[in-house]
Amino acid sequence: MTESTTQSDRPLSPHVQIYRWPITMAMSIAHRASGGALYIGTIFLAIWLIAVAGGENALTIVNNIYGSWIGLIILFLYTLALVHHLVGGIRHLFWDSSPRLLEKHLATKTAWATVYISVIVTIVLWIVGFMVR
Amino acid sequence: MRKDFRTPLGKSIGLGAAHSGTKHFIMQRLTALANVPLFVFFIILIICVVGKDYHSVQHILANPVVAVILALMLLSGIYHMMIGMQVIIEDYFPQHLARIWLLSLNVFFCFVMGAACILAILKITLGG
Repeated sequence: MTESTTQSDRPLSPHVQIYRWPITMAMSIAHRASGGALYIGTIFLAIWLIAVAGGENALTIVNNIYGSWIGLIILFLYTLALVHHLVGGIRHLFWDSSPRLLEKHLATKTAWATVYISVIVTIVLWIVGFMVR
Repeated sequence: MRKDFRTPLGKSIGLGAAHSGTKHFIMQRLTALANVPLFVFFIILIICVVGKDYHSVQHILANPVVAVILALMLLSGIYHMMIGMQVIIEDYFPQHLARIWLLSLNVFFCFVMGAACILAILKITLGG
């Protein structure tokens, strides 16, 4: 570990609190945040699978919790995180295969595309989910 | 002649003090690539079981093709999230002790999640 030995009051360069977030930066943060959310969300998937394995009573209990208002809100955010991370991940795979897409204006366009696509796909999935149930 | 203390094997592997090379990067991309179709399947699967009663859900998940794809999704997905969280911890926790603890916890958590989910799938598909 290297630690700074100088302690002077030099001015700092503008940091995240100061300037308006570019969308590419916001989507970079959102990608990491949604990844972290999915990490925690694995617990919900595990509980659901264990409930199906555990039998009818177990699944009924879990379904009642997941089907409550708070449960549905968490599941909606979980869907949004999954779809956003999926769309953002595909964007990353395209970057790896054609670095031309990293060019500033194209990266900004695809960053906005991930916002719109992930929100629209999530809402469509939930509408379909409510229609088929 | 300059003295070189590296062994011939060390020289030919050529990784130096980092001990590893691009494996992490490649595995993150490889699992990402696998996750795309696997999670699209998962989303469709969830739409198919929404609102169904226990016996229908159990029947759908017990299908061997569904069970295998679900297990692959969990293995690839949990590996992806394990090395992803490793990077997050390495980025934000420079303190030696906290870093070691969190990195270990990360591995434990992912193995517990993987074991629990895979066992549940095996029970659903084999356990009648």
